[in-house]
Amino acid sequence: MLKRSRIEAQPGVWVDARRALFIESLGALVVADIHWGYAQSHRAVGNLLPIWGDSQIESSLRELLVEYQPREMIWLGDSVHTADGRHAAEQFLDQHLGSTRITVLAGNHDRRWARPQIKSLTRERYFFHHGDKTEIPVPAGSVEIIGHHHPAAGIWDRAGLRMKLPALVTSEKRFILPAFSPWAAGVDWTPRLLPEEKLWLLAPSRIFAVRPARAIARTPSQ
Amino acid sequence: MPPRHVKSEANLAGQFSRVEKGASTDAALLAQLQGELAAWFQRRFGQFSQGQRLAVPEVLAGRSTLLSSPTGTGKTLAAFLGVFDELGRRHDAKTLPDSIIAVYVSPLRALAYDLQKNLQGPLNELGWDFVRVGSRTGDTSLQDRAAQKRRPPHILVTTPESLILLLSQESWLMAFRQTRFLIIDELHALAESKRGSLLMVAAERLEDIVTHPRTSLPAPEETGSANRADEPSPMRGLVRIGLSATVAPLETVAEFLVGPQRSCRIAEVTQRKAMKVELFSPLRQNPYPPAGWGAARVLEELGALIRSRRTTLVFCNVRSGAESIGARLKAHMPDLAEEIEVHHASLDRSVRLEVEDKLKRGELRAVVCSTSLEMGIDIGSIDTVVMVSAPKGVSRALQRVGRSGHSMNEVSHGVLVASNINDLVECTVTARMMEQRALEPVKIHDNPLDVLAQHLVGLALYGSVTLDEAFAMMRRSYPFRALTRDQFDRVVQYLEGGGASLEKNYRDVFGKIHVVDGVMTIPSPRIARDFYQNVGTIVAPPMIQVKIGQRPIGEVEEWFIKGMKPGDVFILNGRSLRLVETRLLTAKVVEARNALPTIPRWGANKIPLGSGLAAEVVRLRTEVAQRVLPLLAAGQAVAVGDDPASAWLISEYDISRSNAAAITKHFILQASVSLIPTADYVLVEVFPEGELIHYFFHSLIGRSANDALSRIIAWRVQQAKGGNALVTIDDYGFLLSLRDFQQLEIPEWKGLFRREDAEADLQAALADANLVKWQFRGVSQTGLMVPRRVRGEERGARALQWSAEIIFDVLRKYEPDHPLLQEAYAEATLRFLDMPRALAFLEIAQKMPWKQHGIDRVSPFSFGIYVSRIKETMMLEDPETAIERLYNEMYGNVETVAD
Repeated sequence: MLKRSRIEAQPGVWVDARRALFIESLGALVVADIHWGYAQSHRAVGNLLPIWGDSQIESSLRELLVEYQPREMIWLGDSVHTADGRHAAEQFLDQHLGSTRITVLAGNHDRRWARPQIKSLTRERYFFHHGDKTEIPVPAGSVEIIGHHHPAAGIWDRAGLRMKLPALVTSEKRFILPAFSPWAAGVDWTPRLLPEEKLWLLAPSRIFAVRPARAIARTPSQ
Repeated sequence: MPPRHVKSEANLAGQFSRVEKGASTDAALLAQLQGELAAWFQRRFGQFSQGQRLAVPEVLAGRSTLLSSPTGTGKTLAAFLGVFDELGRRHDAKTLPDSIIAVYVSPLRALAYDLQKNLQGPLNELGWDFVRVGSRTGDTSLQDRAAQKRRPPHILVTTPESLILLLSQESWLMAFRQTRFLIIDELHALAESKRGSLLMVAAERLEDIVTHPRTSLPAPEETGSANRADEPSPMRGLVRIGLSATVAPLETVAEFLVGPQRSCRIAEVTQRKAMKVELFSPLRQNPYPPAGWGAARVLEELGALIRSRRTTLVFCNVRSGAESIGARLKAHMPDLAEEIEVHHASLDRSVRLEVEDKLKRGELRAVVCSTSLEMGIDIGSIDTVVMVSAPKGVSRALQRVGRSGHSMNEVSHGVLVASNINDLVECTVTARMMEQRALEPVKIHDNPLDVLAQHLVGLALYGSVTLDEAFAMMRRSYPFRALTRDQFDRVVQYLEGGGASLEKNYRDVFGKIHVVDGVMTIPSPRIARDFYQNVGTIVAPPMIQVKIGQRPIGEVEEWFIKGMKPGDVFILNGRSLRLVETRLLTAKVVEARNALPTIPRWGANKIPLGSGLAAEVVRLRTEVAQRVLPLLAAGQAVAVGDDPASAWLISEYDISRSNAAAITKHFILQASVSLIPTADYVLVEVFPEGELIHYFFHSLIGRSANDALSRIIAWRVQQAKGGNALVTIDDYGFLLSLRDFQQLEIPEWKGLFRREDAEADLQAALADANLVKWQFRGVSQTGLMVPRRVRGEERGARALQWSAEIIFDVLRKYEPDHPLLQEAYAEATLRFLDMPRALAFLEIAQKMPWKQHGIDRVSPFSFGIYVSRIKETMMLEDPETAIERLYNEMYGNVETVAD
């Protein structure tokens, strides 16, 4: 099996091209914005999307669990797209009940889902929350780890070719995870990148560290 | 040769016959009309127009009729006299019901409003207050809608989408039960668009309601079962009246109007309005004046023309051209600046209405527009129509010129303005073909499967239509006359929520329709609500509203604004605007009166050259070449202007000596640098430039066909040699820019131009291209896979917006025969790309001799395409390699990490 790419974005913190973060000191594997049941959610309201995605999510998560053998897996919110899509997520959680500790944080999409029991989580100097609520106080000195924004970045040449790849945003104070969902096209983050932040483009088998020249925002983003 | 009508199988002899003479005398026709109506008409108009004489007797006799005529020929009354007659007689007999007798449909709301006024006037003069005219569009107020439901109008004036919405509501069906007339305006425009297809299947639904009132309505539960065995004999069908501009072939448009199984009479107004077409070129005798010189001269001439007329309409092919010329005219003639306006579809509706009203009142000297003013909105009296750059089609050119001279007695005056030497050749040919009325054949899309999907959901709302009935109904319409049951079933399967079940662990496969005992129903009321919000086929790209203060000026594409930063200047509505701030859905700007735009607004001309025009240009080239080459071979100095080629041009096309001289010079230069491409061989020019080798292929088949052709060839080059190809296209050929290792010689090129497997190769070439994805975006909305993007919908991370691109990729991989995917391919290859024309070229190319000619500089005939290089890299390399390459080009100096 082809070994996927991963790099150490900060000492002891690894980003995996499969859109996951691994924090060594915690033995924690973190993913955000899984949006299980995306297609089903759409179908339930009459949009005839092809039923796809949950299998991809399931096998990718399993692969990550096998490779990293984490002490804990953290789902950083928006784990299900709507309550209609919860079955696959619940099945996965139930299957892993005995073997892996999976901590599910609440996001904005999964408000109506019963499984998430907490909004935020502190582990050592890391503070985890979904990222939709900006009023949650971040403990001083900690590194904030959020999802919610689905960061991505585009690459293009002057001949008309454009590609968009999911991206991880890092700085000393904050990490923004890309969306784990294969349905997420992502939001171009380059205009919102702060001077102290770095962007990591996640291509299927390579990760690129980037500081795009035109990206420096002059005012902090909201 | 005029385009031929290809008859469909169910065609009976004489199914589409011409009205030869019409009413013998005015008196005879008047005698056929209801008394008050006849008296009024005679008082008011005195005599009938030719169109009325031809069409009215047919309508009175209850025969469907296609009336084809230029605008301003009394078309409205030609259609409505028969309607008024029916209304008057029923009123006399006290049998006029409180329901819709006539439905009038037009593609534009503006036309609908115009018509309502045009009908109310005569009705007032007749004193017929018993006739109600109601207009129903997206803008109709809630109050008016409720009033219309309570008391339906006798004449309903509406748009395709609004009609479909009404026909989809059970509560409205009673109102349509006695409809007798269906009048469709601008039929030629609707026929060539999907909106037209959607309309015509809705027309079948209306026909059904009218002819089988018992069975087409849901079984009344309260009164017990309606026994289908004892239904009354079918009521007489609709009288369909199609109003169309001059198109060809008329039989095809007639069949589009009534479907393959009914007859239709064709009334063609042949009394031609006199037309004068002039050619203007800024070039004088020099085909290559210094940069900007031509534009300055055009501006001067336009200015002089505008001053010498009361009102001039200036057509440009692209919106950005309209903006640019509008702005420059205002700057050039500041005293008239207030009386010059710009009009195009991106402008805010209020702005457009203002311009149209001012035009009608005669307050404007000039309006610079794009295709927006081609259709028959009443814009008052226009003296002259100017077309800047060749209009690319004879039908389009005639329609534009037809906007000038309001009545039949005035002469239509058109001026073709050539912007460069190639344009001059094209305009020359266009002028001649306009005089010959050599129209392009109308192009109607067959089996649009997304339209089928939408219509089926509309039918399912009733809960009473069976699959078999629905299939038969589709086949009664022209667009679906050859629909196979297999295609139909696949769309039904998609709507039911079927297709490959890709997930082992899913539950609750939701669909949009349920088929119960062969009857189509909807699973929940939500489907109906969604349907009403998503009816139609108009798919708009994400737009940002531009405002000065609070006042909306217009819209621009989101991608355009995204490329700008505050301080940038661009042009909209003929004004220079400076961007102040961009929000989610709006952009704030201020006027930047004398500032030059910093951002050019790229608007590629999307109108491809018509095939008739292309063939004629080839003929011109061949004839001129024959006369020019002997002169050069003789080695003497040529007295350009007095030479045989110029003489031929002057006599053949009736152009000025200086224009002929410019064209001849252009050809002489081409011959000295390279060869003149003619009808006798395929010319390939080879021009090495640095790392690239440019191959210019002179295939004069129009840009859409060249787009298809170049993709096939580029794909084949990649298969044969590897690497990518940079491709540029225009109407006259295409340019392949290759690398050294991809070099090819004539025998190999000929091999790449083989006809076999071309369709499959095009499909493969399109696999990773954006083109089909773009088409899929629209198809997935029309086909109700995803909701239409509603304005005001939040973007950004909060909502995981569906992405057409991702859906497309998933379908391509897992459901390659999904009907919407197939429709996207069909849209791409048949409408956008003109694959058939490309294939035809491949056939011919095999039989012709080929000439490959090395050039040391870009030839005059290739210069246009070389300069306009709209590069598009074929994504033929695999995505991983592409990422590596792009990354390197963009961020080559930042650290990378390997596995």
